Amino acid sequence: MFGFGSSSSSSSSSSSSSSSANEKIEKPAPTREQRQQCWSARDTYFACLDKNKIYLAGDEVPKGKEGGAGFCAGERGEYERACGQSWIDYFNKRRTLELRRQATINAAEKSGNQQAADAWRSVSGTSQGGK
Amino acid sequence: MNPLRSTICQASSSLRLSAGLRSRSSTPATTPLRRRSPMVLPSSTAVFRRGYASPTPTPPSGMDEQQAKARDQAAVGPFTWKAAALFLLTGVGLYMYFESEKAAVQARRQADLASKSIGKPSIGGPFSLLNQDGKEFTEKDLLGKWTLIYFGFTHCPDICPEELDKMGEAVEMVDEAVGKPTVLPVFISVDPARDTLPQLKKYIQEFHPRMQGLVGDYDAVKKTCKMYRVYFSTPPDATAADDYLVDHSIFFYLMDPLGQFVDAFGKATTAETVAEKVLEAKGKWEAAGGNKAAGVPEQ
Repeated sequence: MFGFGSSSSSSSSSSSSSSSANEKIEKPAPTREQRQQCWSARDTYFACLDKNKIYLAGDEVPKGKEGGAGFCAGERGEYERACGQSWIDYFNKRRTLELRRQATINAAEKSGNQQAADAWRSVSGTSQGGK
Repeated sequence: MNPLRSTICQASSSLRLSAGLRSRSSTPATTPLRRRSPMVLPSSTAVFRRGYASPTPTPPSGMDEQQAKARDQAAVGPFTWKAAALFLLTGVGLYMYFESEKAAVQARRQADLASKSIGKPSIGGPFSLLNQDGKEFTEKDLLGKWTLIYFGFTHCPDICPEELDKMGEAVEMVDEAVGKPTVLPVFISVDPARDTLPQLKKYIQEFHPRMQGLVGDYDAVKKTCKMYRVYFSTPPDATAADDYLVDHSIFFYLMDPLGQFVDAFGKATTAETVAEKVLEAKGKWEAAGGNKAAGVPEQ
């Protein structure tokens, strides 16, 4: 349903029941702990993609063949367990934008356009990326 | 009329009289004019003759040279060094006076601009929502309190929690500096379909114990956002079962005890800076008389 696999079991059930046990929340938002879990799973997965020089999240999944799981399969599994689908889409998009931003900065610097490089650098990026 | 001529005319009416007589009949006025001739400026006669030239009839053919000269001087009439100097002095004096007045006006205008802060944006206004306990919460509940207001949604992936953490930190810093609870943190949901009161209550507790979580139906939320110039993208027909993100403005606002906008803080602003700005605004507020002077209840 929402994609927060862990929300139906273990950690979340204990924290949500303590604060509002009698009121039913149809679709509870992730708690602070769940957010933290999702973010760290995301960071681990993205670091694995970086290590394997895979830029677009999802490109590491082998197409067609059922045999190999490809790179970062474990990390991706954890990421998908810890984060909701809309969050995954959002983080993946952010990663692409961030890589593109970094590439623009590098290209500007290489061509000697320091002004453009600085301008792009001043746009918030990385983990502080804005909307 | 030639201004120079009029000034000089006023200066010596007797001369004008004789000059007038002179122009009508050339002979009788010759004697008194000749007596005054040393005061008349011969070199400039040529210039001023032109002014009188048209009404003056051409001299009769039988007139001798002396008579003609006297007539020229009479035509120049009242022009004297004294008059010219007076005119020049008056002119220069007036010019300097106006220049100094202009400078004074400009200085005053500049001083006005410096003391006045740039116009305040109209952010905030009447709204009616429910807080996390189901109690009505309107703009009147903000009166008398310093508030930090953030618009967001509980399913927000990263920016809202980061900003709300920052807000909570800033609130703690201000409380500590003042020595008592000072700032009210307010979270207004832009996602009425999923952010039910219990959900809201659970969420805000993670950020600050005093935080108020507000929500209403879609129209009430939309109206509030309009008042606070906040953009949000929640589709009106979203249901709680949908999995979606809301794009929204991510500034949080500092409002004074009259519910008026003071400042907005973005992602780049640290909790320390927010706390500093709150304390600075509060200091100015107290110096101007505080809540009592503003006519709002003390905190």
